[in-house]
This record gives sequence, C-alpha cells and structure tokens, in this order.
Amino acid sequence: MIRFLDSNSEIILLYVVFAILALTFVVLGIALIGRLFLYKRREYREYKTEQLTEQIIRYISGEVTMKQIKSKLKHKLDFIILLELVNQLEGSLEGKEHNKLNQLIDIDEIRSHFEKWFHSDEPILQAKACLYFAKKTDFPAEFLPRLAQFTGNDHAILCYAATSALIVHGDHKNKTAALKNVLMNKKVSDMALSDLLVQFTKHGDEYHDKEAELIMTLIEDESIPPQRTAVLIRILDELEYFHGVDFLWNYYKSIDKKSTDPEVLKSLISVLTKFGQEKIIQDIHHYFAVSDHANLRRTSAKSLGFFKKKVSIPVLQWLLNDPDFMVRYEAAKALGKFKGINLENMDPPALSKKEWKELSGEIMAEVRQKI
Amino acid sequence: MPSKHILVVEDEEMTARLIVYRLNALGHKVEHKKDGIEGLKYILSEKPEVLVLDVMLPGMSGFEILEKLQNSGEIEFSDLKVIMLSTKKRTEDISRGFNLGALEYVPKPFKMDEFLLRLNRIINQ
Repeated sequence: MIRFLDSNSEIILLYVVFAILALTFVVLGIALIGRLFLYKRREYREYKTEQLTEQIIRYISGEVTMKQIKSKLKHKLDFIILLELVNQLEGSLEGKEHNKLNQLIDIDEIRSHFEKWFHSDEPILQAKACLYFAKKTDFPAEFLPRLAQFTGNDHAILCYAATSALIVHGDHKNKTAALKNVLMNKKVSDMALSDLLVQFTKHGDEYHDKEAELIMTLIEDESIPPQRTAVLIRILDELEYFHGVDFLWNYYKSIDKKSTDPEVLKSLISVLTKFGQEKIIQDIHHYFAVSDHANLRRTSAKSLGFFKKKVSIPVLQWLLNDPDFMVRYEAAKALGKFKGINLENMDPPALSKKEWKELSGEIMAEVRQKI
Repeated sequence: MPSKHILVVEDEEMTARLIVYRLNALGHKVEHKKDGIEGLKYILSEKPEVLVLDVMLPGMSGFEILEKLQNSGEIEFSDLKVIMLSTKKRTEDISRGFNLGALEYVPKPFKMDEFLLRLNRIINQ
C-alpha cells in the first residue's frame, strides 16, 4: 500500500486537485443557477404584481370580468399575489368596490386553499384561514363547531382570528361564548380585545341592544379579569347605549371603592365624568385622589378639572405636589380651567420655581389654545 | 368636468393606483407621490390645482404638509384645493384638516363614487 502510494503520489495529487476543482465548479454552478432562479422569480413576481394590479383596478372599475382575471392566474404564486393585492386595497374601500374585491378572493382555488388550512393542525395556518373567512359573507355551517372550538385555543392569534370570524358568521350564543373565551385568554392583548368588541358591536342592529346587554352581563361577571372589565366599560361607553350610563352608575355604587381594581375604577370614573355624574366628586376627593395608584390619581385630577367645582381646588392644589409627573401635569391643567386661578402665581412646595414655570407656562398655552 | 392638474399623496400603493387610474380616466393630469416630503416638494415646485392628501404618510404627515404650506406663504389655498383621505375619523382630526385649509375630508374606507363626487364638488367650487 505504501509502495503504491509512493509510486503514484503525483497521480493521486492530480486526482485530488481535479476533484476539488470539479466540486468547486459544481458548487458555483448551483449557486449561479439558484441566483438566476431567484432573479427570474423576482422578475416574474414584479411582472405579475404589475399585471394583476392593473387587472384588479380595471375589474373593480367594471372594465374587465372575473373570467378575464382568472385567465391571468396560472401558478400558485399568482394566487398569492392576487390575495396580497386585494388585502392591500380592501381596507381603503367600502360599498360595491369592496364587495367586488371580496368576490375576487372567493375564487375556488383560493377558497379550497384556506379550507385546507382551516382543517390543518397548525394554529398559524388555522388563524390565517379564520381571517380569510371573516371577510366572507358565507361560511359552511358544518365548519362552525370547529371555529367555535378555535376561540377557546390558548394561541392568541388563533383565538383572535376565530372570534373575528365567529362574530361575522355565528349566532348570538356562539358570539357570547367566543367573547368570553377571548376575555379569559391572557395572551390576547387589550388592543386586540377592543378591536374584537368593536367588530362585535358593528355587526349588531342600529341600537346595539343585544350587544350592550351582553357587555353589561360580562362587566358584572366576576370571573372576568379586572383589566378586561375596564375594557368592557370603555366599549359600553362607546356604544352610547341608552341604558348604559344608568347601568354603570348602579354598578359603580355596588362595588367596594377600596378593594376594586384601579383599572376598573379608572374606566368608571372617566365614563361617569363624561356623562356629568357629579355624585362621584365626593368619592374622588375621599378615595381616588389619595389612592396608591398614580393612574387613578391622574384620572381623578382630570375628572375634577372637568367638573370645575370650587370645592375641588384644595384637592387639586394638593395633587400639584404629587410624586408622579403626570398627576402634577393633570392637576395643573385642571386648575388652569378654573376662572380666577392664575397658575403662574402658585408655588407648589414639591416643585422648583423653574419646574413650575415650565409646567404652568405649557399648560396655560394649551388652555388658551383650547379657548 | 374641466381637466385639472392633480397631485395624489398616498403611501398605500393600491389605493393610490386606483385613484390615479380613475382620475386619469376622467381626463385629469395626475401625479402620484408616496411620501410627505416628496409631496411637499412637488406642490411647491409644480403648483398643482388639486391635492388629494392622505394623513398618515412616511416622512411628513398630511397635516404637517398643510401646516408647512400655510407657513411658507408660497401657496394660496384659493389656488390649491385640498381633499383629505384618512383612516383617522375622530372629530378633532377632521376639524384639524378643515382648519388647515382642506375643503373635504373623506374617511377611509370610502366609496369611490362618493370620493369622486366630493372631488368634483371642490373642483367646481
């Protein structure tokens, strides 16, 4: 063996060099073909995007038919591009143009694709399918139990998307169960919850009776986390439901002011203030303006500035010395609304003259601008 | 309808393309800019007669563009008719648009026919 290697060393070396060179060429070749493929794909994507953009615009302008658009869709990528373009445009349009866009995404190939995702085991794909169905006007009844099941899923996006679709396609019972599931899902953000509640109210009748009643039931439901109750209170306010204010006032009277979560109290104070419920002023003076929670003190200052009762002036002056800047800011702003109070002449002990000059100057400029 | 020189400042590509297409079909000369700074430059240099202005824009918001135009003194709002388009629907946003010189404020989502009707109205004012 050694003798063989000794006598053929040059040839072996030549083979090795040749093999390395060949391998290098193969790798380079694959890389080049890959680049070319990506370039061609990008070029095709740009071309198709441009073509479909024009077709969609002409379709919703009534110049081309669905059949003509379908004839441009050959590959899977074409359907993806179509879907992307429709998604981009649908948020800007309503009425007949919006309906036409919805018809475009109802093409069999797209629909069956999402149905496949709906029945997959992957939460993200299921969520995407739910969002697709949320845009549709029809939904297979046999899919409803699975959709309802998704709303109870721990995965935040799936829970949100399924609830969104159920708001469109479910009955009142389904919707109630779905909303309760979202309220209990800690992973769903407050913003997403608000969004769903707004969608829910939009799908109701003109007076939102059923929706408001459900929200009121949920506000009283003690199993719902306080943070969520606070959101529900704000949504009930936005609904401008006739009995909403009475309900919130009675609810407010029924709760213990000391042990109730500050977020719930904050929402209640804001809403009741907006409706001019002056009876809360005394509670603000006694409980909320001296709360350990800065957010509650801040809301208190805002509320007292809204009512502008002389009896609140000492409380607001006291809040000017609050350790929290935003509380001091709101207290100063509230005082600026009282006639005969000159902020510049005040001298809150907790603030330096420079700090106070800056804060009061800024607030007076804002108050004057509003006047 | 008389042909007008219109600038559309809108960052949502598809929405802009649709508006430009429909305005071109009506015989107007239409230019499109995707960001606020480019839009402002075009207004100052080319002086379009009508401005279709989105509020949320990269670079500079629609409100900022109108503020800059008011402060620059180079544009007379009687020569530039402004229609705003926005997802911002709060009363304070709408009144801010009107206070800054807009003649119309169309909340998104909008109906194309209604948008064209309002545009036509400000053109004929």
